[in-house]
Amino acid sequence: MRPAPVVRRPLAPALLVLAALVAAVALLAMSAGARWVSPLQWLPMDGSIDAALAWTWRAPRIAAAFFVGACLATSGLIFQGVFRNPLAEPYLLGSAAGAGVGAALALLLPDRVPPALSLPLLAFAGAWAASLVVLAIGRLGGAWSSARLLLAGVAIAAILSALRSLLVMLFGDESTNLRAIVSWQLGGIQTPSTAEAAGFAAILLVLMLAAHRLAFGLDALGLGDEVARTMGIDTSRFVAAAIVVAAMATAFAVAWGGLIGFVGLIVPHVMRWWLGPLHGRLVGACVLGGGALLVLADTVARTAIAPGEIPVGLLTALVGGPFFIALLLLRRAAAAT
Amino acid sequence: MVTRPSPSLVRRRLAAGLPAAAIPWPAAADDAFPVTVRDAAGRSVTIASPPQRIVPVFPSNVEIVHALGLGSRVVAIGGRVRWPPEAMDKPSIGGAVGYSPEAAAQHHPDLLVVTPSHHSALALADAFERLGTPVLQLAHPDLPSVLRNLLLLGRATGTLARARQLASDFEAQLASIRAAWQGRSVPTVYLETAAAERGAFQTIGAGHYANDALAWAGGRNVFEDLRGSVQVSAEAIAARDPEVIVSLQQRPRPAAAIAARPGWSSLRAVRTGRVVVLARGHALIPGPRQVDAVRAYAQALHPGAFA
Repeated sequence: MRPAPVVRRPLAPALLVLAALVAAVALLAMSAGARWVSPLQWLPMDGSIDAALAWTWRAPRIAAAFFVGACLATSGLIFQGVFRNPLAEPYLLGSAAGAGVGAALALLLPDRVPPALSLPLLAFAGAWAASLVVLAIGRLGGAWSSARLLLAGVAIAAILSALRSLLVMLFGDESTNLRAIVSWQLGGIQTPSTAEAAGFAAILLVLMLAAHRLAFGLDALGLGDEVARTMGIDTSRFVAAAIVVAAMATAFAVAWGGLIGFVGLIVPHVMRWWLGPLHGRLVGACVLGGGALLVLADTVARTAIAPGEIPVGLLTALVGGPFFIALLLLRRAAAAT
Repeated sequence: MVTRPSPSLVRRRLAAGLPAAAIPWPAAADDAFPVTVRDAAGRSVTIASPPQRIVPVFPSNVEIVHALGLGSRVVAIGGRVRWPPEAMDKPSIGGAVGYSPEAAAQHHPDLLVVTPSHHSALALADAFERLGTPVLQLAHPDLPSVLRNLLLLGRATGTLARARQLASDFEAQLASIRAAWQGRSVPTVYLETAAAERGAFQTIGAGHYANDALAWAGGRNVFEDLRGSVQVSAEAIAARDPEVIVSLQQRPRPAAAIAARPGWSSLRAVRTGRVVVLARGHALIPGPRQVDAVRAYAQALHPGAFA
């Protein structure tokens, strides 16, 4: 990958813009839904039906959507750094597919194990194991190969997606929750309780701190293994640690939102183009940008065909794919001039 | 616009010796072969002699064939079938990951019964039609069509007398259930056919037999403006604020689990304690046991009427 020229746009104004974007999107998300409720009606938390609709039904889901989007963008950022490849993202590299297998198992298991507990745990186990396998293949023969890593990731993702579908088809039938499981796997934001929503804030904080601690290593890794080692980084230990963090972020996203593609790819890209390649500058921007994007997508998902609902993962792929291609073409045009 | 069938309509048609809808009906010699029937796909299917090697594919197809007393003539069934017990030892032609025309062909069927619900089933039907094996496609957008399927299969297999008996029993039971709640106010209902932990709420709208079953049970589906199987958002359920919530679950968990979903405690049905969890069992199989589903719904919607 050609080293990009280091952009030094001031960070604070960018974060302010992103925070304003989050606020605007949240305002829209609180107002839109099966029925439009203007902010004037829901802002006073006066116990009216409109206020209850927004605060009881929409606010928790908006919090979950923000959380899922932030987790996806953060894990995408770390994966792109670790794999030194701009195409790396949880969905391409098998991490999300692994989480999907774990989540499918959790949803198909007998009720003895409450899914609320088994789902995040199995999702994490799947995401982590898949990433480790991809990493192991990428390192075969001693030397790192970024291309081999990526191809291994694509292959593992394909295998695990097929395994997930097979599991659901073999063990789900009309008499189980088949439709709900399939729909959730296409991406569906779950509604958290207030305590769980508060937990999201804590988890995000920890993830952001962890990502910040990884930032220097990720920057160094971008200059090549040798350079990273001369900068005092134990690359294999560092990569293992980075993958645990990214797998955790992926698992949280899958546990609360099912399988949602493209957010983890697009958001870190856009932020890198805007704010330059230094990872430390990108963490906060990715959290805000990813959160805003998914809150917006989920708003469309529950509004477009209300009272029906569209799986949000279908939306992000339908809209995200062309958007990403357009960005690529625009940048090529810009580079040519 | 949803047309709710009136029990009397079905009764009149049955009393007049007519099927609930237009099936070509020979005036005499009901069980004469060869017979030509028109199936749900609108195709004329000619059956030369009473079928002896039947392959019913879907659970509802299997249940109807067994209800007609044709269990001994079944040579294979589709996967996913769980009822009746005596059908379970028949060989499977696949189903979990697609049907195998080859597996079905090994049994030399002379009648295939399917519901055109997804591609693999249609591919199966297509393969046998090209071989010249009669294939009957059944549809079931409402309860009268479940009766029609009974009569259609009865005609096609030479068991019309039994089919008429079953249909009239079915219809009489529907009428008696309706009589039990008649005169009471009809509550609004949200029927949850499936759900993930905290989202992906699945329900049904018009054109689905469960919507019709709710109507026969004395309930009004809050989502009857939608069509078929649909996913709805929690806030849409809140906005429609049903009087009763009926949740179909494979292994029923206490209604408290639904009340504990974030936000749901503010729903009218939860506040008034009108959340009912039913074993999914046969409720989502459009066969003769639909009448049991209607009774279970009616008891949930009108507990006083069945006390």
